[in-house]
This record gives sequence, C-alpha cells and structure tokens, in this order.
Amino acid sequence: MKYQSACPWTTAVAVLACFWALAACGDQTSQESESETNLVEAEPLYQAHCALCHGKDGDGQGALVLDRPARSFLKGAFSFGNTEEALFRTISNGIGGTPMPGFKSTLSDEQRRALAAYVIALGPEQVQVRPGESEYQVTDRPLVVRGGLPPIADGLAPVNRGLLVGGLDGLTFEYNTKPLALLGVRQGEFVDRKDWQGRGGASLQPLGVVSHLIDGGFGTCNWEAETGSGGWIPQPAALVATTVLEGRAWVEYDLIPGHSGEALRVKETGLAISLGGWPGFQRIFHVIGGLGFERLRLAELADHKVELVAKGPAGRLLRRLSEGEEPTFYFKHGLGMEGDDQVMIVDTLFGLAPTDENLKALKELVQ
Amino acid sequence: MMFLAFAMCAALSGGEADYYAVDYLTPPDGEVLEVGGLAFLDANTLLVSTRRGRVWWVDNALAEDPSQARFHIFAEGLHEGLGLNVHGGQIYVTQRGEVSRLIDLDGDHVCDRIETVSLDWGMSGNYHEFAFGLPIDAQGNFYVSTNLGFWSPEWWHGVSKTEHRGWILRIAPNGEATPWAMGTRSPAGLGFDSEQRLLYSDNQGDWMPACGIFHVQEGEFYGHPGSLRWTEHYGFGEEAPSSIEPPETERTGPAVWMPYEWSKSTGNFVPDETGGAFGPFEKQLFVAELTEGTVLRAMLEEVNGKLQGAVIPFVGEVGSVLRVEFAPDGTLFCGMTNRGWGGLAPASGVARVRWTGKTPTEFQSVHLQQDGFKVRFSAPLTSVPTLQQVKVYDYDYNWWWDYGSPKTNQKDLVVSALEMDADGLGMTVRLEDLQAGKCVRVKVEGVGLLHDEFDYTIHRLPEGPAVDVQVAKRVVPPDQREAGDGGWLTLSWQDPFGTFAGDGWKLVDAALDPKDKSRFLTTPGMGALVNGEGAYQDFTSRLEFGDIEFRFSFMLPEGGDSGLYLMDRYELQLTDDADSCCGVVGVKGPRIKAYKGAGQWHVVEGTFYAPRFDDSGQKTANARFEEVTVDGVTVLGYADCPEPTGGAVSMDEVPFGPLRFQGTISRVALGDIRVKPLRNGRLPEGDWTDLIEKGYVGGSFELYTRLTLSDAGASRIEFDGGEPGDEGFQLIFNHTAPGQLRTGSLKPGTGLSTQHCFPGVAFDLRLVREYAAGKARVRVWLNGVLVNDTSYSNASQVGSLLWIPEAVPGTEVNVEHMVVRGL
Repeated sequence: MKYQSACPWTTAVAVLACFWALAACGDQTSQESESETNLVEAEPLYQAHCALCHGKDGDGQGALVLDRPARSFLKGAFSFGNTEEALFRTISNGIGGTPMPGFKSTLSDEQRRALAAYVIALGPEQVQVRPGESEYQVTDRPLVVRGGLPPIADGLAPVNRGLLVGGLDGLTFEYNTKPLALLGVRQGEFVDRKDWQGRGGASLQPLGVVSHLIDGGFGTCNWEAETGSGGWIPQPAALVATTVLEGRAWVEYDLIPGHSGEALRVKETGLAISLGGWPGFQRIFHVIGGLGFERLRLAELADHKVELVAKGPAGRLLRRLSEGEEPTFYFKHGLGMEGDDQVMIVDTLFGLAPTDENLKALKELVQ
Repeated sequence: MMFLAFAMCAALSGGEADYYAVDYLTPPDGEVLEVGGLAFLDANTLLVSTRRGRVWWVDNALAEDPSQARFHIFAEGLHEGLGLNVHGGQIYVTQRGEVSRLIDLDGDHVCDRIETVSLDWGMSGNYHEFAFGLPIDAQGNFYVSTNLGFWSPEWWHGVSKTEHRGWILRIAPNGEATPWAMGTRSPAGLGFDSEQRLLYSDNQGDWMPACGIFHVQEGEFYGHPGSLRWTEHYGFGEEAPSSIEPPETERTGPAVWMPYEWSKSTGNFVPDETGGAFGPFEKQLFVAELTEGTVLRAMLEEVNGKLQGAVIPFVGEVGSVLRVEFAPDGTLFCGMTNRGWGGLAPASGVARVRWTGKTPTEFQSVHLQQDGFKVRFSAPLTSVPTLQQVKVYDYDYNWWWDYGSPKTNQKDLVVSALEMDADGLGMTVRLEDLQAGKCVRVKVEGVGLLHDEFDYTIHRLPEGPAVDVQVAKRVVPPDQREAGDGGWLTLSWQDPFGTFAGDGWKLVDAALDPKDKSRFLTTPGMGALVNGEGAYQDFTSRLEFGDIEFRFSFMLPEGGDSGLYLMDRYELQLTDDADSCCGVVGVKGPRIKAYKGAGQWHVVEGTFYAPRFDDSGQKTANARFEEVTVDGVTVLGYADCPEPTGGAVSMDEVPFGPLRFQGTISRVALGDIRVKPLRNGRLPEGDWTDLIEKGYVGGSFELYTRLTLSDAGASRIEFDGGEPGDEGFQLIFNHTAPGQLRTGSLKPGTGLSTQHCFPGVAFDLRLVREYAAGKARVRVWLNGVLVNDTSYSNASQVGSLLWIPEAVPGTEVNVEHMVVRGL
C-alpha cells in the first residue's frame, strides 16, 4: 500500500486501510479452518458466487436486478435439470443468453460439485428411488418391460427401443423392438429399472447373465425369406403386440415382405427346457394365417450356419458349423398345426460339447 | 347516472382457497406417482400413467374423502407414459418410443396385451427425447409431439438427430404416421380446445423465448429450427439447420406466450366443458405449470383469422403440475412430477381442484379491440377502477438460440379511457398505440380482483393485415458460446504502444536477477512489457472501456508493488504479497492466497462493471469486480467499489475510462493484455441497407459489420468523396497481414498499430461518419470500443461506399452482415 504522492485522498486511504486489515483478518481465519478440514464447504462458495443473483437464502431474490430473474432454489427449479450431474454441468458452463455464468475456469471440480449438491439441498425434497425399489422380479406372472437397453455384448450399440420378457422360469428374452428381433437370452434375475432415476431416458439394466446371443446379438432380423430365385434375404419384422396370458408371454410381430405381398403374422414365446438333462431354452413360433414357414427360415439356422446331424420322428438335430461358439446344438421339432396356426418349435441347448457321447445321446432323443 | 352493481357487498375477496379447494389423493403405500398422463375411463375410474412406466387404475377417484381412492396397477413395464387417453372405450398410452393400446383380455382390470399403434419416430437414445400426447380426434387420429435431444458438448442446442424429433406427428388409426407440424422444442402438452382445435404447449429455452401455447395446423413451423432438418429444404435429413442463425422458414407464433414469472415449464391444458360445474370459465383452457406449481387459465379467441388471447394465474401452490384433466363431475385433476426438472413440492402424486361454489371476482373474459380490451368480470368489483388503477405495458421478445429471452422493448401504454358496461360487470380499456407483435400486460389494481392482471399476446389486431406480426423478433444471433476468443480485443499484440502510453516502458524479455531478486534482468525480446528501471511511469491505455472482462499476465520482483486501475480509478492490487495480491484496495482482500511469488508469471482474469448513472447523472450502482481469478483460482467473488480507490486519477466517477497499470512504485512485467467489452457493439435493430448488395451513397451515415478475416488476409471499405479535394478514406481490415495499419485504421487519418482482433474470429465493427459544413468526423468502434476518432476538413457532403473484400490476394473473409443507414 504505497503511493508516491501525497494527494487529497491520503486520509481516505488510511481509513480504508483499517477496513482492509480487518477484512484480511476475517479471511485469514476462514482460510485456516478450510485448510485444517481440507473440505470443500459449499456455503461460503454459494455466498461468494451465487447469492448475488439467487439470493443469500436461495430464493431467487438476489441483490442484482437481472433481465431474466434468477431461479429460486427453494422451488427446486432448474433450466437444464435438477440432478447433481445436470447442476454440475450448468454451474460449469452457465446458461447462454442468460446472466448465469459458467464457473468451469474459476472453481474446481470439487467446488462445483459441492455447489451442485448445496443448491439441490436448498430445494424441496426430490423423489428418490429407494434401494431395490426399481428392481423387478418375476413372481406369479411373466413380465414384459419396454425401455432402452445397454449393449448386450461388448462392441455392440445400445438399443433405444428394447423389450425384455421375463418368464417364471428365470429366463429373460431380450429384444430390439424396431426392427423386432431377439438379441439374446439371459438367465437369472430380471431387470433393474434404472430409468426411474435421473431425468429420464436411462437404459434398463437387465440383471440376468447372457447365456445365448442370437447371431452375436446384432439382432436386426431373426428371419430370412426365400427370394423368387432361390436365394435368402433378411426379413425385417415389426412389433404388433406383447401379450401375457395364462402364465406365458408372447411377442407378436409382422414379417413384412420387401415386395408387395401379404404380411405374415408371427407370435413367439420362449421358455426354459431341460433336454436329456441338458439346459436350454425353447422358442415356440406360431404363424397366423399367411404363407407359412415354407419360404421362411430362422437366420440363425441358415444352411451355411448349421448342419443336419440327425433326423427322426421327433424332429431334426442341428449342429452349429463354426466350432467353439455356443450353442452347439439345436433341436427343431413340433412343426404342425395348432388350430389355424402353424407351429414350429426350436430348442437351443447350452453348454454341450460336440463329443461322440453327447451326439449319441442327442440322436436318441430325435429318434 | 349509471347504476353499477358493485358489491359494497362483495367485501374483500378471500384467497384462492375460498373459491377453489385443492386436495390430494393418497397414493398406494410407498408408491411415487410420477404422473405423465391422466384420463377417465368412466364416471368414477381414473387412469394415471407414470414416468415409471405404469398405468394405475384408480377406483373411487371422485370420493369426497380423497383417501378413499383405491389404486391398483393396470399396466406395467412401459417405457415412460407421458400421454394417456381413452377413446371408444379403449385405453391408449404414449410411451417414449411408441403409441400403444392397452387391452384387458379377461376382464380383471389388469392389462394383458399391449398393442403397438405406431413407433414411427426416431430415437437416438438421448435422455431428453420425450414423447408426449395423446389427443385423439373424431376420426381416430392420434397426435404425438416429440422432444428434441440435448447433446454434449453443446448441450444448450436442441438437436433433431433422428427423424421427426421436434415435430408433431399425426398417426392414423391404422398406425400410419404423418409428420404434421414442426419447430417444437420441448412440447410437453398437446390437446384440443373446446372448438376441437389442436394446440400444443412448448417450453422456454433455445428459440423459445418463453413458454407458449400454439395452434397446431398442418405444415406449420413454430420456431425451433432443429426440426427443419426433416424438410425438403434440408434434404430430408441430409443437412442440419444452423443452431445459431435463424432460418428463413415462415414461422407461426403461439396463441399465447406465457410470461416467465408465471410459467417456466408449461404442461398440458384442458378446456372447461363442465357446463358450469367448475365455475364461470366455460370453454376456457386450464393450463398445467410445473415449476411454479400452479394452474393457469388461458382465454383464447380468433382475431382476424389468428387464434390468440390472454393468460392469467388461476390457482397456485398445487405442486409440480405436468398434467391436468377434468373429471366427469367437473373436478380438475392435476398430475404431478418434477424428476430431473424441479418444481414446487409436492413433486409427485395426484391433486384435485374443486370449485367451492363461490364465485371469485376475476377477469372472466378478455377480448381484443383495435384500441384496447373489452373485459368482463365474473363478479362485481368493489369499486369502479380509475385510470390510475389501470396499468398497462407492452413488450416483445428475442427469437434466438439463447436460452429464453428477456422482455424487450418494454414500454408503458397510456390508458386513454375506461368505459364501464351498464351492468358494472365489464369494461372497455382504451389504449393509445396498441400494436400487433406485442404482449400486453394489463393490471387493474384495488378493485377486488382475485388475480388482477392478465397478459395478452397480439399477433394480429382486429383490423389490418391478416398476417402475424411476431412478438418474438428475429434478431442478430448472439455469439456462439464457448467461441474461445470471440468478443475479445487484444491490447498488447504487435504494437502495445499503439494502445498504451507510458514513458520508459519497453518490450523485452524479463526475469528475476538471481543475485538480487528485487530486480529484473531484461534482455532483448518480446516476452514482457516492463517499466523502465528508475524511471517509473504508469502504463495507460488510450482506449476507454466500461463493462469488461479482462485478462493479463504479470510478474513482480521481490517486494514488487503494482496494480491495475480499471477506468483509471478502481485498483486491483498487484503486489508481491499473497495476502493482498489481487484484492481491491480498501474494499476486499483476496479470499485465497493464489499469488505464488516473485519471478512467477500469473494470469489474472476477471469481470469489471462500470458504475451506472441515471439520466440526471446521479449514480445508481457502484462499480464492481466479479470473479477475479489468479491462475484459475478465484480470489474475489465480488467486490463492490462505493468510490474510486486510493490512487485514482480522480474521485469523480464516470461511465468509461482507460486501463492503467501502476508502474510508479516498483518494476513490473506485463503480458497479453486483453479485454472483452460486455456491451459488445452488436447490430441494433432498425432499417438497414445491405451495403454489399445495394451499395450506399451518403454523407452522414452509420455502418455496422460483423465479419471474420482469415490469417494474413486484408479487406477494406472505401469512401469515395464526390467533391474535388476530398480524397475520401479507406477503413482498413487487417489483423495479421503485412503492413502497418491494423483493423480499424483510417487512411488517411489515424492508423492503428496494435492488433486488436483475432484471425478466424468474428468481430463487430461500427463506423460513423458525420458531415457538417465541409468537415467530417469519422469514428470506428471494435466490439463496442471506440478505437478511432478522426476529423478532417474539405470533406465531401456526399460520397459512395465500396466494399473491397480481397485487399491482399488469398484473403478469406466471411461477412455475417455489412449494413448501413443514413444519420
């Protein structure tokens, strides 16, 4: 505090210097306690950075007159969301065009997080999801849950419109809804509705372990249709309905031909099976009217992917051609009519090595 | 003498609760009802869809005792449920990704089958891609509105990343979806009014200056450009519209803009078709307001072919109301949720608003006249209002990408007459200068109105052209955020001495003398601006500033003592003492010791606001510092300066002043001095002529341009005087190309040797030429700062302006605008 010339304001400087000393003392005290506890205390930060506009109590009645008044934290209302993450982002970046500045370059991450938590705490109590509340268990009735899904396997994309069908037998059938396709099958608990938290749009969290992926989980088309020239092309499907009735959940969809022609309505359900002591799951398909299965096949069972191992009155045993991939064996049976519907059943068996012994046992089943 | 039915009688109005009682259904134990949709299945059965993907079946919802309502889950596992309706006995729900029909196959009041009606809109997975609904018209068509996504890092721009986000879709009974109308941002409410007109509500934010209720008609565009991506002009998805520049597409304004103080998150709305069971507001709309936790009332009318009208508060303190729906008995049910958005408590559940049978004194109806409003009251006033009791102002908004808009151009309107209706239950308010393209706030005080002000949105007057005059005005877009160097002026680049004056200051390299750390060793170089040893002088800018952000680097020797005087008056202390460095002298010390010590360079950033003065020159606000940081650490949050600090050039306070670095006490090294004027010199509204397209001839004129110049590029504007002897002048644009004259220079005239602007960054330049009696004065502002003021004689009265974009070969220049008008 040195000035070269003696000017009329010298006296004022002396007086102000006293204030200065006092202010410095106060600051010193708070600095020491801060360094002692090494905690980010939000309240002083709030008073220093926020209170001028938002009011010292957070009521939006700050000292500054703004063209768009600051929001009241007491009402808990925020322009870009009221979760801690959303508030952290708003505090960091500000809100363009409004007087709300960003503090990214002036406050540390910890300070901004502390402020986010502080202003949330000023507001009304927020709806919280209690631990376990959003977990769905299948008890007396199959459950069908729609929502976004995380990638079912590494390297895949999340699914924006997904569908989980949880059966009484502990299997979860996981679908992409648009286009409709089964992605895989899980075993275990059903789902945690993580979308009950945050601002919305979070993915569901299926809880079961993936025990089978359909075509690697890419899942755009489960079906292929025969073309006029004898080739096969992927056949997209469109969701029609899900139905839960008599202890079973059905997924119903249309296979819409690429060329003009009548759509084929299919409904399918799945269940756990044990075949000759080996675990697996069964998919039951009903074709409602239309052309039937003659010119359709499951993409997973295309000729170049499986070979016919055995054929008998009970059905056909198919073995996957590419070694080392699960599952190894399929059992296709039950082709026939049920009322007006054509029915096809495909069993998929888990964890069965292609040994001679296993093969022999399976062949017996076919016979 | 007119007999007026004032109820001396009507005594004092009670509160809202005297007229409308609010109670709350008791939700099932432990259940958080985050309501997204309400619908009545029959006279006593309420259905509630929730954001948790459930549809609740509520028996006994109308019971006198709200705790008697009985809830059970009808449907489960939906992907949100922000719209619900019953049509032809069937239950329909809007999920995030589909419209579905919910079917109970076996009559046990539990949904067994969920049929997909449509899932024909895009979803990218963004959290904000809500889908709302679900009105169904007489032909069985469904209407769904889709929210834009908000993506990092520029999460303040709503983006239509996948098909038909930001649209209203019409879905035929067979599921076929037709994109119906566009330009929505966050269209939380969609429904019909009592005339079966389809309306939707949108939420304040980018391109939505306030919340509003819009009349939905096929093919119309409501203001958010994101949606336009899915139109022919943008190649049906090929190209994304600018998130900054307003599109040329013709825009349809809302039926009513909701004032920010009344609505920050508008939900849905329902018309009162209760036949009087809900009070005296038949056919009007009741509007959900989430943030403020209220229900508002909208009175719409068709004026000159445009649906428009007024909004007014109705019932407050309800909770975070997203949904409203009338029960068959005329009770208004309110569904609440605020997860992720925030709003008044309660944050969830179902409330009921019931008319007590007592009629409040309210504006019952409002009708626009050519010169005012004709209003009716629902009950007698306590007295005849006087002219002084009627207060009216109008205002408009900015239509821009920034979040919301302040009320702009607000001005009081003169009430020229009040004419009471013979029965005393109505009056006509006559106003001077009532205009289209305005919102008008009318307040009638002290006559017993329960809510004494309404806000009317005028897009058209009853007489006059049947075209909308937008209330939300197209304006020059604000700077893109996070635009790095946008808006800044450098003050020490190329030639700092072009901007600063100070005897003995030099451009050198400086370091502490290891033998005597109270001294600098200087060597030839350009790393620092240093005052002369033993010949100390201050370093003062020739330019003057008001409100600015500032930034500079400094280094001090041991015991060093300097300071930055903002406006030559308010000192930010620069001392070799962490206890005081970057405090404001005599006002506030630094809250944290951020100064690291002698010999170290520090970057100081902060904001300074000049004092404010009223028209009479009386000071109305002190100068202040905000958010001063040293190397990113905040040392001052806020420092108010009631008067100039010690060492000020004068104790008189002024609106503009120079920057002065104190160099009179010890040595100090400075670097990279920059300012960002906060009143940034953007193009004001007005009638402007495009110079490039139309050219300009005149003598006294004002020119604004905003352009970006490439590195090493140069351009100029020439003024060719029409009279012999006046050689005119050239205005130079040259940030970094060879030559002595930098952007803002006039030739002949004053040249600028400091580089103020960054290549590749847009800047605003204003030029004013004033001619009088053979003399001309030419002034130039860069980003709002006056940088050049040149006068000369023998000036032409008139001359022509010419734009030379490529003054040196290879120049790339992007002109956002270059406009001129006569003075």
